[in-house]
This record gives sequence, C-alpha cells and structure tokens, in this order.
Amino acid sequence: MKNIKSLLTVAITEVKSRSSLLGAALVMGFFPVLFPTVGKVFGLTANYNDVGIIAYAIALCCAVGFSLLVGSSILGTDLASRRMSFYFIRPLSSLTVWGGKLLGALALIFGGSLIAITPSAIFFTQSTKQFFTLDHISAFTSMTLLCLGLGLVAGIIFRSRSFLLGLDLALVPITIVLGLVAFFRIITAYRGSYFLEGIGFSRNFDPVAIIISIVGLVMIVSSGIGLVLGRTDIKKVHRAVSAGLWGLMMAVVLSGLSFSQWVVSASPKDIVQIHSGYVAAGDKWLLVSGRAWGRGQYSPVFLLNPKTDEYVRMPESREINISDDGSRAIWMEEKSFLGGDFQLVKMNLKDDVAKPVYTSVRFPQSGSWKLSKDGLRAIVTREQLITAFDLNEDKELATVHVPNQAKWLTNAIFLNSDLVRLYYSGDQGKDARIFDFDIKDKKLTQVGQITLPAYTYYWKVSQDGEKLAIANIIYNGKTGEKLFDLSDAKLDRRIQFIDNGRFTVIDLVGAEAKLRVFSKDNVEEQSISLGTMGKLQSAYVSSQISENELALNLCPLVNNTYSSYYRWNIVTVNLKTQAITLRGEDVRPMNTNHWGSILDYSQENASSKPYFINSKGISRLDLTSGQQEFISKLGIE
Amino acid sequence: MIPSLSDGAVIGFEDLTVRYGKKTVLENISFRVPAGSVYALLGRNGVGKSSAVRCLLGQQKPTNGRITLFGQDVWKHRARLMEKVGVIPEEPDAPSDMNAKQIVQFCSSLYPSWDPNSVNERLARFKVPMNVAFGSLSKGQKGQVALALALGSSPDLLVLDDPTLGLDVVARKNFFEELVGELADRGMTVIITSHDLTGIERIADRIGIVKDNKLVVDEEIETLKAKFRRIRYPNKGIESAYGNALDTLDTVQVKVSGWGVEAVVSNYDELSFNKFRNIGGIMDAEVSAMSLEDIFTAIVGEKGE
Repeated sequence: MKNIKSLLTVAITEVKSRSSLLGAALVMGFFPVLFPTVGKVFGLTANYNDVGIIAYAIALCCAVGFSLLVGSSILGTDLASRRMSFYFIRPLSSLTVWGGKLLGALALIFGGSLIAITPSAIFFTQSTKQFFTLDHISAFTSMTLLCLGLGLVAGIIFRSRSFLLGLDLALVPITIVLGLVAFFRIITAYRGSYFLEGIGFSRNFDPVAIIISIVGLVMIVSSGIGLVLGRTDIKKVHRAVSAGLWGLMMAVVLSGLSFSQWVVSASPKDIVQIHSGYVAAGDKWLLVSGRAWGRGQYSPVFLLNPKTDEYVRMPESREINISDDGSRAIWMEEKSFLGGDFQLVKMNLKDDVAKPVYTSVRFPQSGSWKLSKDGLRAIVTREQLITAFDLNEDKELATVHVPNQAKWLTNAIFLNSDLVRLYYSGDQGKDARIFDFDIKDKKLTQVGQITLPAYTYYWKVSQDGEKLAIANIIYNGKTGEKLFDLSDAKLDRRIQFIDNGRFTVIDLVGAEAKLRVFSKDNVEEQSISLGTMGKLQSAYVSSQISENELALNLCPLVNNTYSSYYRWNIVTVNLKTQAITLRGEDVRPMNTNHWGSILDYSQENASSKPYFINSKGISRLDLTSGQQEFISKLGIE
Repeated sequence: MIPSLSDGAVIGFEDLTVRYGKKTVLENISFRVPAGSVYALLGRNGVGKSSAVRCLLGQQKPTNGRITLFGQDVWKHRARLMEKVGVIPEEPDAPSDMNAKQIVQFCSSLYPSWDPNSVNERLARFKVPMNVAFGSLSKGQKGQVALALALGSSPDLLVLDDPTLGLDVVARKNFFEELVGELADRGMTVIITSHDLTGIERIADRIGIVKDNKLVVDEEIETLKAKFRRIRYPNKGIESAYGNALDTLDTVQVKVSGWGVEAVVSNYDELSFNKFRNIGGIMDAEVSAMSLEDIFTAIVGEKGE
C-alpha cells in the first residue's frame, strides 16, 4: 500500500510538472471541430467523416509526440542534470521511481490523446466513433509503446556521452535485420494473422502491431532495468539499459528466429490434420498440405513420396504446378528478403528420389504458370506479358504482349507443344477474350470473345479444347460462340466434361441429387437419381473409369458445414444399367488431373485406385472391390 | 525498525573502493561514525568525496567493499534506510517547475515522521517564496529549501555534501548557525563534506581526510589538533641535524627560509619537543597550535610546499 502511494506520488509529480502538455492537447482537440468552419475561409472543405479522421490523426500525433517528448525527458533529463538524486535521497525504491515516472508518462500520453479527441467525440460523435475499433486502438497503442520506449532509451543513451552509444547504434541495424528475417518468415508461413487466430487471438489483431508493441515494451523494460541497476549515474544507467535492451532484444529476436525456424522446419510427420492433397499422375508423388503440430494454423505443403518417405517442402502460398502426365513439378521461390525476386524451381517427378533444381529463370513477380501436358514447356503470365519456356533447357522461347483489355488469365490449355489457347477475363470477370499463342511464330492472336452476364471463377475447357464451360453455359472453345445454355437461377449447376465431347451436370434440388449426362451435341442422354445415397450437401463427378462408368464424390448433408474436413463418400455409377455402388465411406479424394477434380483432361493415366484422405491419414481405395490400403498417417495421432 | 550495530556506529565504511574504468578514486576506505557524532570527510577537489557520498546514499555501487547505515548494507536497503536520513546534496535540485510548496507536499507523503510545522516554520524564517518555481530560486534559497526538507523528516542521520558550495560568507555563516542549533536540539548523527573548514571546525567532532585515494586521517578533532603543531626556530646552518630530530615528531611539512625553519609535525608531545630543543640547543624554538585549515593544508599539500 505504501509503495502504491509512493508510486502515485511520483506519477502525480510528473504529471503536474508537465501539465502544460494537457493544455496543448485540448487546444489541438478543437482543431478538427473547427476545421469544417475555419477551413472554408482558406478554401479547404471537410465533410462529416473528415472530422473523425483529423481527430484520430491528431490524437495519434499527440500520443507519438508526447511519447517521444516525455519519454526522452522523464529519465534522461533528470539523469543528465543529476536531478535524479532528488528521488533517490527519498525513501523510494528504484522500481517505484521508475514505475511512478512511467505511470506519469502514460497518464500524460493517453490523457493527452483522450483530451485531444474528446471535442470531436462530443460534437461529431459518429464520425469519431469509427476509430474506436480494435484495429485503430491496437495501432494507436503499439505506436505509443514504441515511441515511449524509443524516447526513454534514446533520452538516456544520447545524453550519457558514453562510448556505448557507438555499440548501441551498431546493434540497431543488426537487430532490425534479424528481426525482419524472423518476422517475415513467420508472416510468410502464416500468411497474415492466421497464426494469432490459431493460438486464440482474434484475427483483428495485427501482427505488425504486436511486434511493434513487443519492441516498445522491451525498450520500456530496459529503461527500468537501467534505472534499477544504474540509479543516479547516467553512464551506469546507460550501461544497464544497453545490457538490458540488447539482452532482451536479442532474446526476443533469437526466440523469433528459433521459433520461425522451428515453424518452417515442419515435416510431413508433423501434420496432424490434412487440409488438401493432390496426386501427380504416375502415383509416385503426393502434394499434401495440413496443419502442423503446435504451430497454430500454419499449413505447410509437401511433395511426398509415400513409398520412400522422401519429401520436399514447398513454399507456402505459392502455386505449385504439376504436369498432366505427372513427370514434372514447377514453382516459384522468393529469393530476395525484400521481395521482387522470384526464381523458377523445377523437379523431375519420374524418379523416386527427386530434388528441386533451381533454374536461371527469375522474375520480379511470381506470375501465373501453366505447364504443357508432358511438362516440357510452360507459359507464364505476368502483368501484360506472356512468355513461353523450354523447361529442359530453361530457355525462353517467346514473349508476347497481351492487350490491356485482357485482365485475368482464367484458363490455358496447350493444344500442342507450340500452340497455347488462353482464356482471359476483363474487369469484373466480364468480357472474356480467347487468344491463341503461337510459340513458334511468337505471335498472339485473339480468336474469340464472350460477353459474360456475371462474374464467375468456374471456367473449364474440354479435353480437345473445342468447348469452354463457364459456370453452366457452353461456348465454342475457340470463337466463344454460345452453344448451349443450362443456366437456371435456382440451381448452381457446373458443367463437367467427360470423354468424346460429352458432359455432365449434377442438379442438387434441396438435398436430392440427379446426375445428367449430355451428348457431344448437347442432347441429354441420361438422368440418374442419386436419391438412394441419402441427403447430400454437394456432389461432383470425379473420374471416368470407363466409357460407361463414372466415379462420383458425394458429401452427405451434415449439421457442421464449416470444417476443413468433409466426410465424403465415393460411388460408381454405371451409365448403362444406372446402378449406383458405394465404394468408400469417409473418404475425401485427393485431387489429381485424372482423379478427384473436375474432369478437364484426358483419362489415359487414370488409376483405378485413387488416393483419399480422412481423419486417419492417407489411403488408397480399390474402386472395384472397395478395399482400402492405408498409406501414411503422417503426424495424425 | 532498523537495528543499529552494537557498537553504536550509524555509518560504517568497510574497505570501500571506487573505480571508474581503470582510474581508482577511493581505495580501501574504512571508518565508522558513531551515533550522535559529527564527522567531516575532507579532501581536495576530485579526491572522491562525492563518490563516497553517493555510495553512502546507496546511489552508487562501490567497486569493492560496502557501506552500512544503521547496520544494514545501504546498496541493498537504500529505500528503507532513507526514511531515517536527511540529505543536502552538493547541488540542491528538484523538478524545476515545482515550487517549494509542491516539493514539501511531495516529501510529506513519503516520510513516516514528517514534521510539517518545522518545515513550514523554517521556510518562513528563511523567507523562501513558496509559490516560485524551484528553478527560479537563488542558489541560497535552494539550499535553504534542501535544509528544510532534510530536517523535516526528523532524520537520525544528516548527510551534507558540500552544502555551502557557492554560498556567500553570510549565507555560509547562517547555514552553520542553523545547523549548530539543530544539532544542539536533536543530537543527530551528521556526516559532512565541505571546503569551509572554519564552519567545519565549529561543528565537527571527528575528521577524516582523503588523500591519494586513501583515508590518511581519521581522528577526533581535538586529538588531531593536539597532535599537530607548527614549530619555528632560527636557521643556524645545521638544519639537517634538527630535521632528523624533528622526525621523531612525524614531520609533515618543512619550510626553510632566510630567517629560519618552520615545520609542521603530526605527532607532537611536550617531552619529544623538549628533547629536540635540547639536542640542538635551540632554546628559542617556538611551538604553536594550528587551525583545522592549517592542518588540512599541511596534510593534503605537497611536502615542502
């Protein structure tokens, strides 16, 4: 109780001796209120919302300015002018002196900011209220802590005239670089704030604000260590501040580096929940991603050979491209710490033991890549350029400019090794343009155009490239001429191509599903009810096993629709007999170019034993017998 | 309640050593200040008196050794010990925006035995303006505020670090008169560093002198004054013989001039002095008592100065 009384006595003294700051804050607080009126005199206009913005900016300026001003003087000035002994000859512990001064500083800073925003909050309540959000408050608090810490430390080290200042200044860039390495590794790994969400924080917490707050707190604590150990001798306080600051800072940075290293060094054995999977044709390599143990929502991606347990960790949040024949994978890796430098990496998936090969192909952007079916060639689009590469020799074959009206590459298909058909959408996903990219002649020609009624991300091309399905309308794959319209406002139909120009849709009305098969000439040939499989949440054709046998993935209707893991069932449908056979339960098919995804491509490499994932791990399913073969449980307990 | 040492010492310097980098300022300083005594720690500028005071107040950690106040290590228990200590620092200072009234208010809440009446009465007597910012007060007024605050907590120990530095003669005199009066009333323990040796001589009962990083004198002031004498005799050309004889009295300083020799001895006694006079047959050798200032000058000045 006595200590609290002493603490408050010191704090009140500090506030009293700097009370003029609060007056200044009040004067500044009236600026946004008067701005709409006074501003007109000077030809400046401000609307209702601007007042809130100005008020928040002024409150932030108060916090930042007061933090630096009060922080740099509250300890540093007293020490440099040998005035600190005023406190130390009294029955006050060092911690009480420091705590009281800090409390006084915080009262001035937050009190000043509150005073500065109060007039706006009274007269322009709604406009000002928009800044009383978690985001703004966390940004405000973190900046205040950083500036206060900076002021406290700088006030001491610049006034002490100690040789340690040189060492301090040398350690600043080293710490920043190490800190940024750790920070960006974590940010890259977690793709924003998912980690914080994973460990119980709201997604609204900005990781940058948290890092800034930690750095600020480290500096504030260091000033306390300095005063407790050095007391009234500024050189000794400086020595203790430096020891505390860099000790703590290095501990934080090294912890961050170690933690980030530990996070990104996760192996497939650490995966405790599988999020998604993809199987390269040939069945040697699986692309698996999932949540890794103890790492929040970190979801590493691995190319894994289940036979040999060989694996390669893929860069997070980058597109991994695997050729249709499963012979090659390519991806872009960020090489520069500051960004803006990406390197193409390729991997031969024909071998059981394959290693990434870093090519000489580098771009400032990662671009969007598309591999040829045999994996020998690739195209990449970046900004308004499109380039073709020979991947055996890492050689650029041709680069052409794409017209500005073509904004987003939605699909591409290698019609042969020298001809690529490109499907671009314009702004808002409308005005599709179709181009043929002649690699040999280094020429891009617009061959078709479609005016779309609405945006959709669902663009599929038939295996021969003759038809294009956008959502539930079929167009000529080259000219864009509308061929067949299956649109129905009540149904979210998606056309899936199968062999010989045929296509399917599944109509899900309520929880009742119906498989419809159409001929090459858009005539409905079959309509098979899936009602016997119970109520469904979703359904799609995943594979064509033979000319008249399709495999379907069915997701039963369950109460909990938000889950990274759906309990899928696999059935086969005989188109001749209309027989539906359940082949596997609780199996979520791993996507592949020949299995599990929407059928765009040829089925020549199709396996009759597709991989699937569930809560137990990775398995294979024999479609003819329904037998399951367990492959790997990864790190799932 | 802080226990006192059984020997009654309020202050104990135990092998105190202070170094700044490679420079040694104080080396193995040891002395004790008994309760109720007034100890003057003297030395020339830069010998480390202020460092000793900072260590004494727990503001600086000694390189080696320790200081106890009331039997407790002051570095470890500073805050608690300061309840019983009044301090007048070398340069009295306080937050410059605060006035005397606010400073008194600040201090009043920190000391359990704060005596507001005595503080207000003293400040009124000193005619210190209560509503003027501390930074605007004169040096003398700042010192008066510091004295009022130091005594306001009814301390058992008063630490005065060169309290009259920069004050004029009248202000110095007033300060020591105030202090003498207070000491007579309370009988508290005092440790003081000062260059005002006339003032010190009035109040101190024990003297410590620091020279060349070491404590070379630690004596009762009466003993010190009894031991030190100035001896004068005519120069008859055989001064070396006299010099050897004088050494038995521990010569501190010898000056030879045309008319004769003047020596300062630090271990004077009548018997040895009479022997000296008889050896040389210098019956006209004179001995005189010395002031504290003379003794101090003889000790800390260069030999033969």
